[in-house]
Amino acid sequence: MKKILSIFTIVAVFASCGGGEDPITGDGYDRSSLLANVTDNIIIPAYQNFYDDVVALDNAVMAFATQTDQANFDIVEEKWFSAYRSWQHVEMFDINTAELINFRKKINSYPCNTIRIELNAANGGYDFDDANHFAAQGFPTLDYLINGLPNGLGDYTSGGIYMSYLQDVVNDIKVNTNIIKNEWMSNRDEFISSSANTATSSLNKLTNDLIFYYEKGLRANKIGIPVGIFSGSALPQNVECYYYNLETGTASKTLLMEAFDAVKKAFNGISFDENTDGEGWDNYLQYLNALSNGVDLDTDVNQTFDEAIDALTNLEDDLMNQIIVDELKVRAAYDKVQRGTVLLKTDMLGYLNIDVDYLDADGD
Amino acid sequence: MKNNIFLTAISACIILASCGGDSEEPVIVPGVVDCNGIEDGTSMVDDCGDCQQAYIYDVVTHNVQLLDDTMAVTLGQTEILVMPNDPTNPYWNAGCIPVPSTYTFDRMGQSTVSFGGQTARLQMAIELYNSFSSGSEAELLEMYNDGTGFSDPALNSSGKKLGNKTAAYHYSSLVKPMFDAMLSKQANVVMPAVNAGTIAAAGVAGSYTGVGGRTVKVDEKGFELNQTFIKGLIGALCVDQMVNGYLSPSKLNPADNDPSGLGAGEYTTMEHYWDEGFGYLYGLEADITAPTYSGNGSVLLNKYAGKVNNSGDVDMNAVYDALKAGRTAIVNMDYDERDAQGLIARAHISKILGVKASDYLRGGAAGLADPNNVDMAEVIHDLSEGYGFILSLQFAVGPDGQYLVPKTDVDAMLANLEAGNGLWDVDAATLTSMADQIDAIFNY
Repeated sequence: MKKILSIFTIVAVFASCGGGEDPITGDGYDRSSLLANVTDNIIIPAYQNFYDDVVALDNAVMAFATQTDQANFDIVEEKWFSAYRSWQHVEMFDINTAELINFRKKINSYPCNTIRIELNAANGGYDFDDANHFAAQGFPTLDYLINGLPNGLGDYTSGGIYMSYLQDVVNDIKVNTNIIKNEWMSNRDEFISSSANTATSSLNKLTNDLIFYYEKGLRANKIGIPVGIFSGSALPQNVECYYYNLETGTASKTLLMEAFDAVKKAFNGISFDENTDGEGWDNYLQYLNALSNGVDLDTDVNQTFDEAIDALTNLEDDLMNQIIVDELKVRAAYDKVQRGTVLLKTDMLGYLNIDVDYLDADGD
Repeated sequence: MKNNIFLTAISACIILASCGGDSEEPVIVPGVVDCNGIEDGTSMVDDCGDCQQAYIYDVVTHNVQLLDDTMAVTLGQTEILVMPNDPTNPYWNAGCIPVPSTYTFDRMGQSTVSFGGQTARLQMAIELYNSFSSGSEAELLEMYNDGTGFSDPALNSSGKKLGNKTAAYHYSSLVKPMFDAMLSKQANVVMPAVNAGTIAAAGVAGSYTGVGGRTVKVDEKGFELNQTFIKGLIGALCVDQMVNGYLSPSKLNPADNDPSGLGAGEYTTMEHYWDEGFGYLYGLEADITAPTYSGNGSVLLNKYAGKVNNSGDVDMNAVYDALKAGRTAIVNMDYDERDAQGLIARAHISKILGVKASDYLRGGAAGLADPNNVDMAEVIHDLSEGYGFILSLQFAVGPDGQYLVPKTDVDAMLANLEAGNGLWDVDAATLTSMADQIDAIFNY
C-alpha cells in the first residue's frame, strides 16, 4: 500500500512541475508576438508621448510661476489638456510599478476632493502617496486649480496659496511618469518573454488590464457613474474634467472619445502612430476561430465598438449637459458600451482561457 | 452440521415472526370507507379537501342525483353518470383555486394584489439613504419619522412612514432609538468632520480613502452610519414586517378573510396583509410576475435577496413559490397550508440576514489577514454592512417560526465590533468566530 502511494506522489510532483514558464501555450498561438507588438508599437510610444507632454506641462508651470500672467496661464491650460488627452492612451496599462504605486488612482481619480485640495494648499504637510490624497492630485486636481478656482488667474497673482501646490502636483506626475516610462524601456524583453498562461504572466495581466479599463475606467467612470447607472439618479457633475468642460462645453467628451479610440487600437494591435496594424487581440481570436452570434468574435467586438463610438459621437458635445437634458440618450449609448464588456470579459476571456483577476465593483 | 443448525435457527425466527401478529380470532378484511362514509364507496377527496360524490346528471332537465354507490345504477335515456374526478365534473376542485404560475390573484377579473404602501416606504428608504451626506439632523429625522421632506410629493402625501414600522413587532423600544441615534450622529458628528476635511482615524470621525480608492465617511469608531442604518433596516423593517407581522399566523385572523360582498378587485384584510408582506420584498420590482431581484435602485431586502440567490445560498424561487402558495391558501381559506407556506418563506427570508452577516464578517477578516496589505476603507465598509446585518439578526426566525438569535447574543456581537476604537482595532479572529457562530445558527 505504501509503495503505491509513493508512486502516485512522484507522478503528482512531475505533473505539477510541467506548468512553468513555457512560452508555448496549449493553443499554439505565439503570445510573444502580440506582447512585442503591443509593447513596442503602442505602450512605449504612448508612454514616451505622455511623458513629453507632462514635461511640457511642467515647463509651462515653471514659466507661469516665474511670470504669472494670463498668457502663461493659458499655456498651462493648453499643455495640461494636451497631457490629459495623452493620458487616455496609457491609463489602461496599469501594470508593474504603475500598479504598485497606484499611478492610475493618483493621476485620474475624479471628482477631485476640493476640500482636501484647499486644506493641502493652505496647510502643506500632505503625502501624495497616501490614498486619502488620491483625489487631491493628478489631472482632476489640476482641472480645479486651472479652471475651478473662483478668481482664476487672480488666485495666483495675489500671492495666494495655490502656486506651490500646482507645482507639487505637476512635479509628482512628472517624477512618476518618468519612472514608469523608463521601466517599460528597460524591462521590455522580460515583459515580452513572460507569455505563459498563468495569473502572473504578462499577457494575462495585460489582457485583464485592458478589460478592466474598458469596464471601469471607460464604461463606468466616464459614462455610467455620471449618467447614474450605479446610483439611481444622474450625477452629471461627476464627468471627467468637470471644470474645463464647464468652460469649453466639449472637454469631457473629447477625453472619452480619445480613450475609446485608444482601447480600440490596442485591441486591434494598431500602432500608436497608426501606421501599422500588428498582432493584437483580434489576431489572437482569429487564430482561435473564435465565434460570436455566428460571426467572428473579433468582428463582433469591432462592430460593437463602432456602434458604441457612433452612439457616443451622436451625443451632444457637452456630455454633462446631454445628461441633464436627455439622460435616456446617454443611457442608450451606455448600453452599447456595456455590450462590449460582455464580449471582452465573457466571450474573449473564455476563448483565451484567461481568468478574470479582479472583482466586480458592484458599487455597494 | 453447524450450518444446518444455523439455518434451522433462522427458520424458527421467521416462523415466530410470522406467527407473532396473529390473533386468536379469524381475520376479517374490512372494506375501504370513502370520504362520504360509505364502505367501498366511490366518493373522492379533491385537491381542495372537499369530498366529491359521483352523480347522475340529466342532460335535459339538468337534474343532479348524488350517489353514495354506483353499484347497480341504471341510467335513463337522457342521463349520464359523472364520476367525482371526471374531467367534465364541474364540481371537482371547484371549491378552491389552484396555485397560479405567478403571484397574480384577482376577484371577478380585477387584480386584488396591492402593496403601494410598501413600495412607498422602499422608495423613502432610497432617498433617505441618498441624503446621508447632505441632510441635516432635522431633515433626516423628518424623512425617517414623519414620512415627509422627500423630493417626490407623492411620497410626502402617502401617509407612510419608516420610523413607526421599525422593529414594530420585536423590541421596538430598544431598537428603534438606535436608528434615530444613527441619523443624529451622521448629521451632527460625521458630516461636519467630513466637510471640514478631517481624515478619519481611530477615535477621529471624518472621511477616509483606502488604497483601493474607496472613500468612507465614518464616526470615531470607524462605522459608516449609512451602512449600519440601511442594513439594520433590512432586518428591523423588511424582515420584521414580513416574518413577524404580515406572514405570521398571529397577524392573520380568520375573521379578517370573509370575501362575501366583495366586488371586483376588492380584497379581504387577510389577503391584503399577505400582499403587504410580499411588497416588502418585491415592492420595487418592475414586474412581479418575473422578479429580477435588482429592482429599481432597491437598497433593502430585495437587493440582498438577489445576491444570495446568485450565490446559491438561498433559493429565492422557493420564497416566491411559498408566497404564491400561501396567498392561494388564503383565498381557499386553508390556513394550515397558508401557515406551512408561510414558514417556508419566513425561514428562507430570515436566512438572507444570516448569510450576509456572516459574509461581511468574513470579508472583514479576509481584509485584515495580511497585516502588510490592509485596505482599511474596504474593511470598514464590509464591517459596517456586517454590523447592520447583525443588528438585523434578532428579527430572523427559523423553519419552526421561532426567533433564532436572542437579543442578548446580537448585542454581544455588536459590542465586539464597538469595543475600544471599534472597527479600527477589531481583530480577524473575533470576526471569524462570530461568523462561525452565525453560520451554525443559520445552518438550515
